[in-house]
Amino acid sequence: MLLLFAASCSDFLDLEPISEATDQTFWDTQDDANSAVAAMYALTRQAFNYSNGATFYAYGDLPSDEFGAVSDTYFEDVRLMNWSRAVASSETTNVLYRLRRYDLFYRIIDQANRVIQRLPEMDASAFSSTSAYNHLLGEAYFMRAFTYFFMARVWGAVPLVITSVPTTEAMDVPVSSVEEVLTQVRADIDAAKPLLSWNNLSSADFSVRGNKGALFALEAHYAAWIGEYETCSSAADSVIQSGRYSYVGRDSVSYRRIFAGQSAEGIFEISQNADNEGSNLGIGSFTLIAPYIRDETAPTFQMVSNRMDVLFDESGDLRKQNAFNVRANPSYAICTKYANVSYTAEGSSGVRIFKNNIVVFRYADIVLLRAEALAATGRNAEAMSLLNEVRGRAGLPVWNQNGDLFEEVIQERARELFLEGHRFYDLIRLARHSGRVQYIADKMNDAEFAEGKYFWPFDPTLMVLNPLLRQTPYWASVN
Amino acid sequence: MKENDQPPKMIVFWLLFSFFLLQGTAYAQNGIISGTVKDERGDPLPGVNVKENGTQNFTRTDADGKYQITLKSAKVTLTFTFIGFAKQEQSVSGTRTLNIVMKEDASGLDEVVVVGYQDIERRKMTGAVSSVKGKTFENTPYATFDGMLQGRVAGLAVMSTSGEPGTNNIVNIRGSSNLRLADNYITAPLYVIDGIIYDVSDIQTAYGGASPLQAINPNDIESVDILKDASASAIYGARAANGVIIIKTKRPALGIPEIRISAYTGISDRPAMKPITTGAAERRLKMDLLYAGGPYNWFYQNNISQMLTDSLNPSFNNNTDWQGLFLQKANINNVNASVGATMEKYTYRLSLQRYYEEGVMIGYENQSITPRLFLQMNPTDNFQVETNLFAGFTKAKHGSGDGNKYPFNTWGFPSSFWQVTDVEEAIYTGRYDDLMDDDLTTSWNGNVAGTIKKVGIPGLSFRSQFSFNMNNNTRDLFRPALLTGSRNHAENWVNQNKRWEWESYFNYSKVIKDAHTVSGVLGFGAEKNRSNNSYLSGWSNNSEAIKTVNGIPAGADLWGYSTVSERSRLSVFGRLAYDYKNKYLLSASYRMDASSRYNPDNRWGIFPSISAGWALSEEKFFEPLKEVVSFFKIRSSYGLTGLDPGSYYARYTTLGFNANYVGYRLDNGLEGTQTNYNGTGVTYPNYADPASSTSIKWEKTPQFNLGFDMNLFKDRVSLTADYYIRDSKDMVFTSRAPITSGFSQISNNFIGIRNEGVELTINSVNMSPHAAFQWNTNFNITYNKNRVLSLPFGGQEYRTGQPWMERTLNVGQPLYPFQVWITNGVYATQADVPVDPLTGNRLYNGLTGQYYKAGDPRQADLNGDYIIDYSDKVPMGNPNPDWTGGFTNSFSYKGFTASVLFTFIFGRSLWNGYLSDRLQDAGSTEVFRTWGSNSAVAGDFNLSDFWLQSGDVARFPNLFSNTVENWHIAQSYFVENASFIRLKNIQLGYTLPQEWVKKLKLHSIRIYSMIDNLHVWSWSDTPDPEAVDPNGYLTGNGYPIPKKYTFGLDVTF
Repeated sequence: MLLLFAASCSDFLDLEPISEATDQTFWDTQDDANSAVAAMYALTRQAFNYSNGATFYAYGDLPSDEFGAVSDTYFEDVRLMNWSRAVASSETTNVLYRLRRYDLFYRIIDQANRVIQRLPEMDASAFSSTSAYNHLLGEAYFMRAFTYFFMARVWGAVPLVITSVPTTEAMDVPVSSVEEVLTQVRADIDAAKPLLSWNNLSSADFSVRGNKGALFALEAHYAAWIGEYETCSSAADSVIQSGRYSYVGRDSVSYRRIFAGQSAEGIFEISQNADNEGSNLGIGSFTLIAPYIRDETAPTFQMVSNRMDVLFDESGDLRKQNAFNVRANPSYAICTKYANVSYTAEGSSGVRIFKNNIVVFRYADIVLLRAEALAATGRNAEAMSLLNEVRGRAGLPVWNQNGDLFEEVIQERARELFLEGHRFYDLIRLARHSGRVQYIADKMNDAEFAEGKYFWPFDPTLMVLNPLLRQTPYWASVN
Repeated sequence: MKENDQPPKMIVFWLLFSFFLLQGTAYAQNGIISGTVKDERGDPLPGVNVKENGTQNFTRTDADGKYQITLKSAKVTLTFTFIGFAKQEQSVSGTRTLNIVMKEDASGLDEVVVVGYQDIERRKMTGAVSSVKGKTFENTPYATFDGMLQGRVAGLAVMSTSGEPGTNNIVNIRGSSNLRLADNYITAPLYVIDGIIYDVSDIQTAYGGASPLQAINPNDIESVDILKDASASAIYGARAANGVIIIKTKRPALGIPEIRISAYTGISDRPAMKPITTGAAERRLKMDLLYAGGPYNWFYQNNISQMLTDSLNPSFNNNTDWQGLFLQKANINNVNASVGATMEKYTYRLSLQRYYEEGVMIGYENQSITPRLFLQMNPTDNFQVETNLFAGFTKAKHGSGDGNKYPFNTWGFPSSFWQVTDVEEAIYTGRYDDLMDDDLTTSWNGNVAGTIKKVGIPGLSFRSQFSFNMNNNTRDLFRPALLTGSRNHAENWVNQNKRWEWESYFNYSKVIKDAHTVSGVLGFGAEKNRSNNSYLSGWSNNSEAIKTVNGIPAGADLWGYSTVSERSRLSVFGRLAYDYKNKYLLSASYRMDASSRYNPDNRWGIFPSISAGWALSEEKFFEPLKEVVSFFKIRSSYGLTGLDPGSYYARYTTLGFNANYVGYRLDNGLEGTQTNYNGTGVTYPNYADPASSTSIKWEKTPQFNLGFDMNLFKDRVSLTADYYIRDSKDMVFTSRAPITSGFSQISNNFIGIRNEGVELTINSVNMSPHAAFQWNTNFNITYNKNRVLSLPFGGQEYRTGQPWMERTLNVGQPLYPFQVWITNGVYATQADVPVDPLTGNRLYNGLTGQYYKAGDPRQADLNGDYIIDYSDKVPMGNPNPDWTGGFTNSFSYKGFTASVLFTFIFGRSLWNGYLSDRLQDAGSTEVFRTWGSNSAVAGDFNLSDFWLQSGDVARFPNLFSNTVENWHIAQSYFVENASFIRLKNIQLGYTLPQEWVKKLKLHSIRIYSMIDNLHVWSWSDTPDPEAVDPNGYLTGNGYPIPKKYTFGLDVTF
């Protein structure tokens, strides 16, 4: 009777959630695994939109020389590299606060860790094939590498967490060295390489989820960032030689299509163009005005029209003609790359919806990155050939060879990849290569560059929450 | 387990066991006693209990006070008991007549109090239990009975947050330990109705704030017992931390069936209004202010709104009283009918009530129909079965349906110069034809119980009870495009809750040698609850004739979900009590609860209590004092109660589907719910929510109580006082988690809160018991102080809320004080503004980046850095009342009765968002424009209230220059004293003389009238300081508390 009682008790009291998944009830099928993997990208999308929909561009473009002014006080501080401006800890929606917080990136890391830990525990028969299992696992390594690489470019050294534990057992972690973080990126790239294939499990996910092409593009950027240009060159070449990517036309329709997503140039993008997955904000809301978006007369991120002539210093550049509008407002040049926008209705009740993917890596980017690597390693002829290939697409003649080739490639990247989240990092690589800060010296002098001003500070609230965390070196020395 | 809604095996075992014990015993007949029972004035008393001592043999007097009882043994003692009268014992033998005169019992010592699973005489109580008779609040025009308890019981604080019929009230027993108070979440005590648990925290409703207590007919209530300390409530274990309220419903008298019909009708009157001036008065005030303080060039450049200047323009010459547009005099009516009788072998009572209240706010209404059935049968002398069934059918309408009482915020509230069209008025007041709001709740509750009166040995009984609650709430809301601003929106909610509970227990009571009384309870229980909730939403341009979610194609416009959640509990409980000649009293109780909410290691919670009492007045040495002090008992208790933290699945890390991101939109332009990445559904932990802790456990509430009961002057005055300390420990709250784990917060047993206080109740009979004119007084007062004992993360301050409206938790402070700057008036001149000696700059505002100037608020710079910012804020005022209580005087003369109830609350604060918002609107930089279209400053202000020119010593800063957030809510002048004294209720009644009634062949006729909420005296700027959010915030746009006047008739056949 006692036994019966005890058994009934635990039967009666063991109630599992019915309407929600838990780790105990999930991780059963390939669809479960796929859903967990897709979550890493959704979390990345959250991270890249965290600051009013502009995080990705606030890191990569705003502090560069692309814009002359920003009408939003705090984004203007981002542009001016006044990154330590005090924000009340209660103002959790403040863009500076959000750009200095790494919370959302660690959600991607934790989810990648979870996939890496849970997938091998699943029954092999749950997967349609070993390659399907491999690809999903490879995506997790890819995303962990990508996220740590992204954080290493933003903050430099960050805490390194590569296992997921129950939150009650989680500990505060101090920052690891930049080298340790980048070593982990290397290790994850190496782990992902044999697992990923060139095609995605579903062709619909091509370029918006990790695959071998995206991995090589990541490797190329990673290697360029740490100055291993040989590796960069070969990784970029793997992408180019794969035959899976090609240029699209530089006419305004095709060119804008790149940012609508999944064009022939797209290598790795964060999807925001699928049904019901669009945005009301995004970079377009900061840079476009009427007639692209209703009732806007001046953009938030402002580029005066004559700045265009400095950047596009040669006439006939198709990109200048087709990716910019200088007539919408005579004072400003409007970048129209993100004008993939529609309204739900005519009139004031209509809600604008942008359908722009965040294009992280694309074909022209990788071609020019290889050109940069070749220039850095003295293979100038090959570099120039690639440079001229991109120039040719833009309707320009071959380069006149006035000036430094490496710098010219960086400037070609500025023209090709305007407002695509690259320019600021490109200028850091340029400064490293040339030994002096160029184009943004008004915001960061050489001494500040040497101290690492281009790494963001951690928000002070992070250091209150984690007593082991120390401020990034440059910002620890100011205030 | 698979057989989800079936009781598990061990219950079947108990059932079999109970039948095994079910063996009636025949008694030998030894004699018949009969007689009449009357009161001191010679009137017969129906319904008096007549019981043969030491047996279960009893009867009741009939309508003429007559009784007859067949004795079980030859020489016995008969006990006569009747509520409100002193118990009498008479020893008798053989067959004879025994007439009794019962004396009214002012002492209340023989009253029976219901505590968990037992009835106890008040004389023997060692715990703190207060009781209210249903009669005292019968026919009060409220939808739920909790509001009727305001000011009636020491230690019970009842506060209305609005006057909306059928919504939740704040019901706190001995203070609050509600950690979600800042979010306006309300906690509730555990209600037990005739032994049926009615746990309102299980019940979900589509319309936030709809009270589950609407299913309970207040006019069925015989008595309400409030179990306040642990000795009384610990036997309810993990449900009792917020206290327990036990409701006993009416039982019919023996003999002739009583048929009673009672009805009343009345009106809700427009409550005290917010002070707003309209029309010419509004125009005059605004123009006077502009002339006195506005910049000259506003006039020069003709900037002033034409609505203000062009008084000849008919379209601007309106006098719309916007508040008045929404308020009306409204109907209330109620019909209550009951029939019941107690017969030899069975008792039955059937009642039905329909309550209808139309809102004083147009578009609101509430109707409830509440039938109840009680059946008790005695198939054999030893076996009794009974069933209680009660249901509630509630229907409500909620104005425009979106939860807003007014279509405007205070900020931007329109001025009286606007003209209102009929359509606009219909839309604003929820009378618009195409709007549909059907909110229907069906609640079924009941139990089936069997009692074996004698199990083996005398005094040992066994009862087994199956009880259930089924609550079904559906709401269909249709809001046409005109109301939503875009397209038609149809919504449908279904919330179902099914709970069953099986409890079986032995009850033992034995008197040894007429001196030692031993009693005990030992029981076992199992409970299971299942909630089903679903929601459907559809947006369309379909015809407005289609008012439900129908005809909408799959896609972003059609959205829904359904959830099922379950919890279960097993319990073992017991109580043991001993007393020696009612002099030395000892009691201990024990409960073990196991809940499915926790992992097997933390599953069982143990909730013991112990209490003792000493009736000094029964001692020999007390004799000399007895002339003055007729009864004196001291008592003390200590024990543990518990509480389940929120979620049924708190120990699981649940995975979510949220693929939202900042700025995301569905293709229809709505935010909806985004669950896909590039078309693939995503699943990952709910990082944005607090992480769950697998080791989460019960919240424990140890409580100490020390009190005394004293009767003075031959029981004419009775006094009860208690001192208590109630600690709420291991309260579940969120604390920080390492951010690198993906989560930023974790929910676990982190916080401790203490409520400490003193209660005093005085009852007095102010006239001689024999006098025709009677005057009784009840006064009760409670002082309660709550403070935070412990916080996680080394006791670090916890701040919650928007940056401009923060509330805090700090060790040693009460729950959620308001964070404000101390503002001491206004800088009269520029020279008054402090200057930083280091920089030579005037005081600086860190939020706006501006320097202070003449006419700006004088905010205290606490840290002396010449910058006013978040670090200069201090906690000030809190929503927890310090003093609560009430004062009732009842009068009767012949057939006339009158009763007047005052209630009061002191030491509570409110945060006047209404004033702040209104002045914010007034103090915009473009007042010359906004004052035309917005109400803004139109109110009971004088010119001298505002700083208008240098040198003005004013209450409020400059209206025309707002550079340092002059009207920021976080300033001490928006924290107000929410204390009040309310003339809560006046009851008048007249019972028609018997000779008239007899002619009509009726039993009795009573006419009565009630005036509710007649007047409130307050210390704040708001019309009614009770009508604020639970967290103390005054929106100014809430539903006001109306005055009610009713007139009724009560007929017994």
